[in-house]
Amino acid sequence: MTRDNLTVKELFCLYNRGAVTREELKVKVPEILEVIDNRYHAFISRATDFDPGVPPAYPCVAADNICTESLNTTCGSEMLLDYRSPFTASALDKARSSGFFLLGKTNLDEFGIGDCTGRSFFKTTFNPLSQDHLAGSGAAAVVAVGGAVAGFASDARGGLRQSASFCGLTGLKPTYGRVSRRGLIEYASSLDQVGVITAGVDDATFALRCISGPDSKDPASQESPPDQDSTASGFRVAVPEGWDRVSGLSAGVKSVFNKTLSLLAELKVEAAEVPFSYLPLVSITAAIIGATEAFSNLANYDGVRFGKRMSGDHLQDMYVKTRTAFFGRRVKEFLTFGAFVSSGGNYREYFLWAQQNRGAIQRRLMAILKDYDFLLLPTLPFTAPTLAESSGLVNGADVYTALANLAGLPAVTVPAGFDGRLPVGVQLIGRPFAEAALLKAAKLLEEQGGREVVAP
Amino acid sequence: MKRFEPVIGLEVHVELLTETKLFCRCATAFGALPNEQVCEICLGLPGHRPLLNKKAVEYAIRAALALNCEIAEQIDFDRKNYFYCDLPKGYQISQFFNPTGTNGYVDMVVNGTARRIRIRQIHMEEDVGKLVHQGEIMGSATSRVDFNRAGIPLVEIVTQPDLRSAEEARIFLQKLRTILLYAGVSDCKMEEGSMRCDANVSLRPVGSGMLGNKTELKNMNSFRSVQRGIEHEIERQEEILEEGGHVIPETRHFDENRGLTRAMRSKFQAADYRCFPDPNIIPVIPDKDWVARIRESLPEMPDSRTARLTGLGLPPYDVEIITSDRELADFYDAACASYREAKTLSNWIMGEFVRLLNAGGMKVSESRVTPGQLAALLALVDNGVISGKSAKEVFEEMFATGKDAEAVITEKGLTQISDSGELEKIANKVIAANPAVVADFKNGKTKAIGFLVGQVMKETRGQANPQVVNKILAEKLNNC
Amino acid sequence: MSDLLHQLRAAAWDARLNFAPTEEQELLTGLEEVLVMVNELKKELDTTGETPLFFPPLPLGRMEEDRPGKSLPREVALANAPDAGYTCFHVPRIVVE
Ligand SMILES: [Zn+2]
Repeated sequence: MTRDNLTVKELFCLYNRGAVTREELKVKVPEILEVIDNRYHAFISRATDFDPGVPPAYPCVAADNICTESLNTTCGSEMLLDYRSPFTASALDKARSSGFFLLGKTNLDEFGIGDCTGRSFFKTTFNPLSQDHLAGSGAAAVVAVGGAVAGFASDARGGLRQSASFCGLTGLKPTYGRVSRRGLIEYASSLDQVGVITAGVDDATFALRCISGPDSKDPASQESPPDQDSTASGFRVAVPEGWDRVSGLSAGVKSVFNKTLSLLAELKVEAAEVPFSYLPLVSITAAIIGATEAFSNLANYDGVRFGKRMSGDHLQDMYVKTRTAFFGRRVKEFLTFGAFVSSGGNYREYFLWAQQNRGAIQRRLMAILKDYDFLLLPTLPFTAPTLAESSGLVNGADVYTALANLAGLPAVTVPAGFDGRLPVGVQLIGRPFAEAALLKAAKLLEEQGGREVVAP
Repeated sequence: MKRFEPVIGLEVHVELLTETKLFCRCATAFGALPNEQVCEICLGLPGHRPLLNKKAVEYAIRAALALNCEIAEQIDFDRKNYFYCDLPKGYQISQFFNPTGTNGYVDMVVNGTARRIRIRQIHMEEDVGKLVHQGEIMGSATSRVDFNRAGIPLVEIVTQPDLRSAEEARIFLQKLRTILLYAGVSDCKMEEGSMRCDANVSLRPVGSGMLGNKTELKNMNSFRSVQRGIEHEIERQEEILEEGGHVIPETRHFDENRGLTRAMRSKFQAADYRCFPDPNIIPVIPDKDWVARIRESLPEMPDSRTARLTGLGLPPYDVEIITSDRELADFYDAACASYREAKTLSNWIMGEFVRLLNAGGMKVSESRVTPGQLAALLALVDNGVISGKSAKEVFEEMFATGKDAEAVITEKGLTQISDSGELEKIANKVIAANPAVVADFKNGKTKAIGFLVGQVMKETRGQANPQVVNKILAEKLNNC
Repeated sequence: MSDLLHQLRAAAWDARLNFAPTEEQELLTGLEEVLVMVNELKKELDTTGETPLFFPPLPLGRMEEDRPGKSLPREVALANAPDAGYTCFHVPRIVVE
């Protein structure tokens, strides 16, 4: 193997072992990233200085809705073109102090709002496994081609896990409160959580350890309780009934999921279907809550303290012109939807209804998790979409993933097979703060399932 | 006989005396240059997280307890969403669903009648930024915004519509201010904006239980202007109703200079605030011990003090003056602990003490004289060591220097001569020197003794105890 | 104008957004579909008696002591503003009445 074919990840590996010099790294890494960006359109901004300091250093990227002082933070929106945050997200600060080196900020749906297509104001990221298809996020594309060990990103309704699944990767959304959200420009505060995309479960376990824990600047961040002692072989898995009646579920995804179930049976892991009537409510509930919170969270984009401004005849006119000009259409529709479902006349009918749904869903999931260690579900009903496959206000991509966001539970997706050339992920959802057990189980699926996961 | 009676409710915003803002640790100190006390949180920058100020919660609970409210079992916050340039985040964090305190009351006396005004609720919220204009708000092409004030903790106190006149509203507001000053949660300066009052005013036929259309009256910047503004609004509504018209529910501004209220119609439709629980603020449970400690740390409130001071025999006027200022009342109580003549003490405090404070533009807490020192001085007067007249001179010196009464008296040589042996000698001298006056006295002009007393006082440079001198002279004149 | 379109326009205004006629029509159609779906769901699954959950349960909220910390230097605070002077953010004129 010549050094010319090495990935960024491999170069850093050699650097950490002393086999590659700092000077070599500083020259080669930006060249490779340039190629990745040209090919897949994965970055919004890249680091200017590639001196990782004293080894060990682990290359990472962060979605561009996570604040950094060293690079702009745009959320993939024209609204924040050239925006430089005066502070860095706590999770990235923690990652840096554990040796992570930030290579750049990656592309995402504008403000993370979308259906996980990885389309921003700037670019659309293509899937390294199939260039006709989308990657879901720049972070997933970079990790998929060995451009980074970890991609830190946010997961509000499942976007992180969805894009990991599209690219055949591991995607971990931690428990709500496990990782500080300070510096995450989230659109839905009650759903969003900083998580990580990695090539495998071990990397995810390592990365999580580096970013989790209480942060004095995010009162929602909690001390992680000691890991429960759980042996990976002794777990019980619940499969919510109705998973196979979800609209839009592709035959390929269904078959991979069934194969995973047989694999568990082979491994003598108890997997039982459990009654769960709420799957049809998941997407719409997450959309209503997400849109209402987005309507409120994104109200600070008013052209006064930061961001772009379009001049107007007067103050309110300036607001309308600015927001209309610099938010993308998808964001505008979502914010308007949020304003609609939470208006005085609709509040009870839609917004409160969604919060009641969330209450019902969370309580039911906690009841299931009393008897079972994990829930097992496909990650998405379908594989990576093409650019042409656009969708409406509520498209159901998050029918399985948003469950974990609504209830604040940890969830991880691992690749379990292929549908044609495209990878299919399965997802485990665990008890609050039981990431250790969750990742152990995910590791088992990865090792066993890995036999099947060979790209055709 | 009036056909209509006013129904008035107040919404009072009060700035809490915390050192930092409600959700960030920017200073709240008055007088900083624009935008010097701002950060990512109070500017609402992307990715910020609010950090709840414990002291603000404590002060809100303190205020709620002082207003006899029930305290919420959980302290949580909601977002009130609207767009305005003084509002950094596009929403104001407030307590919409679950106010800190509910169902309280304030007792007061209006023209001799006891009135209980119910407090519907007291809740916390963030203050907004300040617009700086050159000239009129409507005239300028641009406005400048200063966010130093944005995020300063406020409590809003909402009354039930229990007030029945503009005067009652003013008296209520003054009473509320006294209570909050006692509780130590705000400096309640209406002129500086740390206390702001809006009034909901409506009229209804006398005896009717119905409520008429109400207007919300704003821009009243002093107690006087609250009373005047409401008076004008009541008159305006009366005229409309007398003519058979309808009061339009709207927001009106009181124009102090012109003495009238003006409608503030927005070109835009009324905001739909879409209040919902702020997902970034995890609720806190104020534990029972904490609330109990806050309750215990409250000073004795004005009503209780009023009852106690009245019990000491003080006239209502004195009680009102002394209890109107917590520090003054504390000073009174402390002095009273070692000096029992309640009325004499109140005369001195309301008279000399307040006069000297006012002359120096000082607060009670800035006084160098302690209550104990005043009590000691008054005891010296009672014991005849010095005269009441020189006591005032002594007190002025004590006020200026903080010295004890004895020290000042000695320094100035003001000790009163009560020694009868000494005084008898002087009396004999005076009698001998004024035979004509003595003759007048003998002939029945008893008032002539006054002249002789004056002569003795003159001989002693005012240091003789006049009562003793009088007694000695009377004895001598009657016996010779 | 249909009631729904009226509500949609009010919502867009409250979000300070404006849609071109074709965009508005597409959004209206999308919204109608969603509302039909919600009505179907409400018939199938009744959650009206459920206690709402506004955010995932967390063990405790924290409060901070009232000690002044660092504010942003003013030039940093103003640095990202599209229009600012030396001390203040500038906004266009405010229209009332
Ligand atoms: Zn601040």
